[in-house]
Amino acid sequence: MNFEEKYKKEIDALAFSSDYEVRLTEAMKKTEKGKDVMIVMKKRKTVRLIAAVISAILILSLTAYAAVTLLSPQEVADELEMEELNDKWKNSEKFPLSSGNEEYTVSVLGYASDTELNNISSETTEENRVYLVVSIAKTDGTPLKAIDGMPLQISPLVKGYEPFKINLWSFGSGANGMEKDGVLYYLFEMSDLEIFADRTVYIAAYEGFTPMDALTMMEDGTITYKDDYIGFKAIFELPLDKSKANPEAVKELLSQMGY
Amino acid sequence: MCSFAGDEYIEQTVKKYSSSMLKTAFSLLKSTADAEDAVQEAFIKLMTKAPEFENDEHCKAWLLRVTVNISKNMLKAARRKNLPLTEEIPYSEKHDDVLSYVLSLDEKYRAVIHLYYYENYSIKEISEILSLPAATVGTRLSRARKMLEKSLKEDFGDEF
Repeated sequence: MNFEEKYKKEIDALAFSSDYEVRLTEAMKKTEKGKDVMIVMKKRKTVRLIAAVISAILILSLTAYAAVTLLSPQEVADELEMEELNDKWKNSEKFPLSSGNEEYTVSVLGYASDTELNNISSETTEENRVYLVVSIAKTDGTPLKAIDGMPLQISPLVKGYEPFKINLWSFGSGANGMEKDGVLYYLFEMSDLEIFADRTVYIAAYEGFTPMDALTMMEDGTITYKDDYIGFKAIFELPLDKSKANPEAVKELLSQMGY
Repeated sequence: MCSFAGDEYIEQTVKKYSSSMLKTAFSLLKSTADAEDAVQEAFIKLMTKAPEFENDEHCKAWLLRVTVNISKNMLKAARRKNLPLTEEIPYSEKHDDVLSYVLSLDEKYRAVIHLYYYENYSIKEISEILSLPAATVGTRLSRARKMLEKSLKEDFGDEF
């Protein structure tokens, strides 16, 4: 019997309350009809009131939006269950970087890098991954809500490479978001951005679907907003660890992308 | 169908999904009593939020996600109070089998191992249930397997 079979067998052998399904069904039926129900859980000394639980779920917590104190990148990582990033934040003294207009303020709170095992494919390989924490807030302090979605797009860009060539998608990035005190926080995870550390690496905020909607590369390679772009603008130079630059890896990445 | 409209639907929904939810909650909480509490709360959320689902798979994924979140919140609350959730002896201290090795892992690895090996979800599906990037799920699965490898290689040979 292999691991999977044994694990399944042992999970299936777990002894939950023999009448749990029946009790739960009856309790839900009664609750739907608006009656208070008490369920006594096996081996429990305390009794839980379903009505109280429903009330707790339905209570909306309204917090007055006060002056914003941003979370640290590690606090964001802890909330998003990435505690392993502790002690991996780079150049912390250079953060946060903030910019905005009368509507939004964007802050880059920090970045971390860590060597990870990659098991997406059938092989297990080791690779460097970069984590970036960004916050978006209303400049006037009005609370933002996570349920309304991400109000702005964020992308890393690199001097000397057009936005359509190197952007967030080039790094296979995924993001996890959260809201705290009316500020939206995003933890981006991506493949190794540090290989570009010998160049200027930007973090740009914009409105639109792709970075090409808003940004362009000038003749000297500098990334800037298009003249005809009307939307939010905030662009930061990311203080990367220059010792991590890897021109060979850059060449390999561009080759894989067909450039 | 996954809905709490009417007694029949309640019966069907509890019958269809509660077992998976209980086992997923157990993988995090390591206690059958706590798992029963968590699943009860999850069904209450289903009743109060009344989300619409495209199909049964969508419904199951939603219920498992809610179950995982409730379980994690219960663990966090217990840690803050510096108290165990239940007075039961933790499962991992009682037994000497595959499950006890899995339960000895950190909670974030247990969820991934359970959803992958018991529910047979793909990494992408697990990432949607846990609201994590797929790469993070892959990394956690890989790390969990490596941690289990040392302990279980003797019994399960090439599995890892």
